[in-house]
Amino acid sequence: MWQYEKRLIRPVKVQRPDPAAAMVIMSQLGGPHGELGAATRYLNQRYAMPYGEVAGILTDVGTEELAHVEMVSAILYQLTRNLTVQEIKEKGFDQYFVDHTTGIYPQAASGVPFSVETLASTGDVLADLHEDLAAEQKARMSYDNILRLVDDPDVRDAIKFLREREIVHFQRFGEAKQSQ
Amino acid sequence: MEANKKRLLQKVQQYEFAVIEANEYLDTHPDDQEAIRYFQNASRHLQQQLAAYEEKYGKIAAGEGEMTRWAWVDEPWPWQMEG
Repeated sequence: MWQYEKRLIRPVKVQRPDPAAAMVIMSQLGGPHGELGAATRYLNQRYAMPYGEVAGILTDVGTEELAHVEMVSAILYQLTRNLTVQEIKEKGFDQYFVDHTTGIYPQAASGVPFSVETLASTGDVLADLHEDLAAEQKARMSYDNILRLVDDPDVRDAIKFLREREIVHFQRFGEAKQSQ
Repeated sequence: MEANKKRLLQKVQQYEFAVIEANEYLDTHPDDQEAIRYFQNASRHLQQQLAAYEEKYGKIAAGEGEMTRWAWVDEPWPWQMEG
């Protein structure tokens, strides 16, 4: 079971709304390498794991990814506050806005809705752990691309934290693979 | 958000991050004695900081204790603590 704590895993304090930045960052909520896919991937894979260390790391990393879902959502929420219609049109937010207003909807930056086709659960320890190692690198790569596209230091700070966690989780999954 | 509240919450977040990090490390190193001590120490600090925060500013997890209003529903929610 899970218990909610009324705080973020790391503070998100974005001062300047920027719907164009939100449009690319939303991929890390509902895109192919996003946090929602990560959380569900690891939590679903646990049941087939014959080793306590592997079930443990999937549980704990999966749980942390849920906190990352909330953190990315907080970034999106703060980037889309108090927008004018003119900003919505000029910053390319109109296509999202027409269906979702400023609600948080998990989709890729391209507009493709979140799909469970982006995650795997094979029932095989080695296949799943290698999937997870790749998934962490793909998420790290997406955060690198976001850092190429976004200038605001408030946003970059939060994104850098998330990027760093992908690297740590890659390390832990590598150790889990060797622990068998 | 007033400065002291912000400072106390930041302490909670720092210790909880240390707990999460040590927890994940221990998953793949369950016999590492130094890591176990690190985890226990960070856990203890987290409980102390959490108690200090909650005594002044209300629950982080919905909980028990003396109350006349279910303050859990009051703002700010975590995503509303913008700059």
